[in-house]
Amino acid sequence: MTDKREAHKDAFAEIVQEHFSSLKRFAMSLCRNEFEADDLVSETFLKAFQNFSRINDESKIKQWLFRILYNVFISNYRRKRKVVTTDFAPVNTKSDDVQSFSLFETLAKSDYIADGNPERSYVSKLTNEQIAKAMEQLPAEFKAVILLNDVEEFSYAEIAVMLKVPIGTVRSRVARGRSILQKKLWLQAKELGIRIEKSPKEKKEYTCTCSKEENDQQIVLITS
Amino acid sequence: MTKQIKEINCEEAAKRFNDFIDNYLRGRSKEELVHHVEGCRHCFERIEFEKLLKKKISSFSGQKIPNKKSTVKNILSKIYANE
Repeated sequence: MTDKREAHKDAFAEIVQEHFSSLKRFAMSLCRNEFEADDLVSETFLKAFQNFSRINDESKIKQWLFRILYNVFISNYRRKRKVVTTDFAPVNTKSDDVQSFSLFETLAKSDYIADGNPERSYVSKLTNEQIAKAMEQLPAEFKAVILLNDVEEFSYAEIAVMLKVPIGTVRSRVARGRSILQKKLWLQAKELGIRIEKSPKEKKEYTCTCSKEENDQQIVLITS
Repeated sequence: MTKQIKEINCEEAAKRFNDFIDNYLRGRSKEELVHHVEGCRHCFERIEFEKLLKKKISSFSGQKIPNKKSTVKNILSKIYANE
């Protein structure tokens, strides 16, 4: 074997090491099955290796790998098996509670007791485990764009190319995905033992001049 | 001549938050939002909250990937076996 061939393999091995976790996370968001996700990542790297010598712009390797993974997913896991998973079936997320849910508004209308700014305090206390759990509950089409946009930091245009959807679709999925994620975080916070008590005093007041929908729920959150 | 900036309300501002925190808001649309936020503490606080949450999610490492080392090794073995 030539030194050049060895160097080529070493370079590719580094790429696998560097991007494996990101690709696996994305694969899990598409498959929701550990074994299928592993197969998907494996096949992605195999295809990437076959075309690795054609790569000129190394700065686009990550984007290139994600695109391959998504294409492999579409061709192998959807068309071949003729399975449209429920994850990709239309998701009823247009209901008002999901479409417009804002964690900030919910916290602001409550009397979340914390030092300093209560909403910021809430975010700073969020753990990776809580975020992971909420992400896990997101429908795949939304989880994918949140992962690609917020975690992997791809632009809307790059995501649009990857997922083969218009930029407007990416934009709306990001908005709806965030809204659903925030609702999941809120429900989870309540499940995790945050006590809710009625207490209208110390309610925050803002200098907002706009008319807003009234929230009947007057709540006070006390972290246990 | 001072350019007149259109007043928008909180509802309209909220529709632009995602584009703003993702740095896609441009031109007049951005100016109107910034103008609104300068006079609205509620929206200012909400934008700060959304930015913080995005930052928190961006540092999210997701579920731990188990057996990364062995899986990577298996992948590379498969690839090289196909050569």
